[in-house]
Amino acid sequence: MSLRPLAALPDLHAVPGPFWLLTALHLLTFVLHLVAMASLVGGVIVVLAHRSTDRWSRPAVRRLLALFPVLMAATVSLGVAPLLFLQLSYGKVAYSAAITSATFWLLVPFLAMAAYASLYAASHRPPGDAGAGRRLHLALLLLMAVSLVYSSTFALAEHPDAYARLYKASASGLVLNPDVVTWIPRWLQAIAGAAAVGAFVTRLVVRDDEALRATAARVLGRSGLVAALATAARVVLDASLFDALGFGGFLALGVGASCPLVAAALIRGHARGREWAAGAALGLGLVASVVARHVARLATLAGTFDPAAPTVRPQWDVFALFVVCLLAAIGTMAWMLRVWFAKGTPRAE
Amino acid sequence: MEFPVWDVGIGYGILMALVAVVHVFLSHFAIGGGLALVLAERRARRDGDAAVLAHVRRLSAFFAPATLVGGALTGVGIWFVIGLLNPSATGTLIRTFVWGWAIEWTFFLVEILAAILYARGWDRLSAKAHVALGWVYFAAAWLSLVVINGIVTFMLTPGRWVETGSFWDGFLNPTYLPSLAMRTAICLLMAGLFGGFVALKTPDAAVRARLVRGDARLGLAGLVVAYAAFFLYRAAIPAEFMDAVATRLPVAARSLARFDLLSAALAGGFVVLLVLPRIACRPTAILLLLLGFGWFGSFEWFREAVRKPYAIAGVVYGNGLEVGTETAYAKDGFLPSVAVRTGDDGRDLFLHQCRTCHTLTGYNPVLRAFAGTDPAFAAGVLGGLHKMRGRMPPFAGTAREREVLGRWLVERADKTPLAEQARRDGRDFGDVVYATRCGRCHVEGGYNDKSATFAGLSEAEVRDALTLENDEMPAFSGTPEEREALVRHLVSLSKKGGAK
Repeated sequence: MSLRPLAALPDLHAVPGPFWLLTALHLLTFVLHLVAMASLVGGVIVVLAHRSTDRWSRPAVRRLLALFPVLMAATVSLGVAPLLFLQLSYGKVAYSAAITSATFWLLVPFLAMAAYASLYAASHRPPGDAGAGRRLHLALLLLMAVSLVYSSTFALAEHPDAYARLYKASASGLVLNPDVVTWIPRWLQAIAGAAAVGAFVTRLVVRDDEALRATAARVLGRSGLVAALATAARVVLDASLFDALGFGGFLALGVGASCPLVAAALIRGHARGREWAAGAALGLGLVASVVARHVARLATLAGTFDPAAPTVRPQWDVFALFVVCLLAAIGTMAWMLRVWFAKGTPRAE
Repeated sequence: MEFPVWDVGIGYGILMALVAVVHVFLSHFAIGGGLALVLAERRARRDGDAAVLAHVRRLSAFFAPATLVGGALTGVGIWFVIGLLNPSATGTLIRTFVWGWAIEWTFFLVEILAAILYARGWDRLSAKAHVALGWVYFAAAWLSLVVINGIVTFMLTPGRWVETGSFWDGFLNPTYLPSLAMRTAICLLMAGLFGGFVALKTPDAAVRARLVRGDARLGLAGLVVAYAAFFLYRAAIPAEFMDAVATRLPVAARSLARFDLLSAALAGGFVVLLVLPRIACRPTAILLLLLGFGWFGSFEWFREAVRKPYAIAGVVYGNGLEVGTETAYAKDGFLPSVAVRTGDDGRDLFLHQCRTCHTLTGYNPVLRAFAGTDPAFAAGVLGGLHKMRGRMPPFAGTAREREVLGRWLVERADKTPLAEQARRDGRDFGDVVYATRCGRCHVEGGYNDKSATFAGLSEAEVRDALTLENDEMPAFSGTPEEREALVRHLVSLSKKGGAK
């Protein structure tokens, strides 16, 4: 190899797949990440919201405490892929915003590590020990801090003029997005929406504990309401979002905001199959929110950054290998779970 | 340049090393530990050895949080760090290997689930199912190494990719196989280190000694194979890089020396434990872990340093500039290409061209090189960056931009004249002038030593020679006193025989 510059390097800016494919994978994996994250956040909130003297010795709570580190592992694992595809398609604006808030951005893995450790510690407390609650509070606080940094950074990434202005004022990476109306309601919407979805998942996990299920239903209703109000605040306060969303975007945003409320109403009713219907409503709401987010991002960035612009130099052979590996991974995980939940297996927890 | 540059006091190299070395330490343990666990469990179950089975169970309880909380999240942490420190090179890697990373992610998912179920499945699963999960875990973890190894080695030896742009040419590059062999062996070494640490919790002294001996054997085997594979790895690195280690890259040379020294120390430690396993205690286990950490860190530091001045050899420089673009920047200017500006031209030039490796006054400080000098000297030196001992990327920009950066640096540097610096530090004035104005590119008795060319010249002739200049070396621009001191120093050097 020569140190002299090579005359013709491959195009370093070409992307290895068409934008539609990268977007589909980004959104799909992001939804999976959100389901895991929401289940964790919602579960923790339900446990902390449940007021009873025997809270920390209830079998259902013990089961949830054991589940939280697993959900955290799933959140992190499933978060890797959307981050990868995000960097590929939106690297220019995402990196720039992250560098502008670098100190906070860099804190994210450490905050997540501390949250993970707190969840582990909570799961290892003996039955009846209220110390688990303190550890859960800490974990929730840390997770909310992580989502705060995410909301601030990704809202900033959608406004290149804003991060350019901010960077000019300070290149130290010690600044969060000052344009709070573009991201605080967004953050609230994300947290409350996650709590609603997670509360529903928690209801499914604790089928043998009616009191905890009632708490979960309460959390679902209240979180759904906060998420809907936060969505309304976003649209009212953030003029750029209002301008950016077309009919489709508004529709998706509206569906995303109203579905948790619909799910909460279904849970309170007495119709047969209401749990399934509520789950479907929440699933629809989650997907609609992700689509609305995507539409808003593209519209906000229009004119300053086009993620579909780079030359496509597809690597179909490697992509095919990825699909094969993904299918094999899904098959292997299904087998492992089948072994784990096989009939006759004693329950350790 | 599409991205802003984070201007923080801490050195980028230190930041990267902190996260990366911890991650590689834990992630290699995650692989080797997985193999050690499943092999030990299988053998213990076969032999009905309850004590070893209890040890394996203890190890798995330590293993899951260490690898999931520490290993996985520091891995994610590397993503966060490299995106901040070198978004340009990171972007190039992602565009080239996104499907490779996606494949690795599928193994990662399996690995995480298997680790959780394995650690929690002792009382729930049949022995056969439990061991099977252990094998799935190890296979998935090792396959993720198989993938990531291709991307990591690509950065040093992109091989035929630079001509074809083919994923496979980049992935199966010249250092791929030696590196895979070496890292696989390192996994075993890490398993031996951590296994020995956990074995100390075994209450029965005889069983503990047996476990310690087994872990020492595993660690020693891993070390020997890793060390042998390292020679193959070194042999696959282009000569141009390896040649520079001895002459121009003191950091890489020191890392290499440290690697050799710590290899011997680790081997000695393992041999002692093999012979005298009963002396194993917490301090010895911690000492061995620290030695292992230093050993692995030395290798990683060498791997990072040897590819200077590149982030991706021959493709992207360490500062994020694409190789070959410097010609266009020299013609059209660099600053117009900077998308996000600070408002200070000199600072923007410093941040984009130097900040990846240097701070002003802290880590790897750049201002020290300009203490007591002048803007003309600084601007001239910037023209020859790529000739300097430490192998730096060439300056990308116009002559005017070089002047702007040179002035910006000198304005911030210590203004104490060189004569006064020499008096303050008790050094020879001529020696200080030489070290400051010549020594970055011409090391006495070392890299690019030109003192022999002054052999036989009179002081007047040496004085004349100092007026020489070219694109890569500025004419002497110091004070008359500095010139005279330097002339005397050069004449004395030539009398000593110059280059050895």
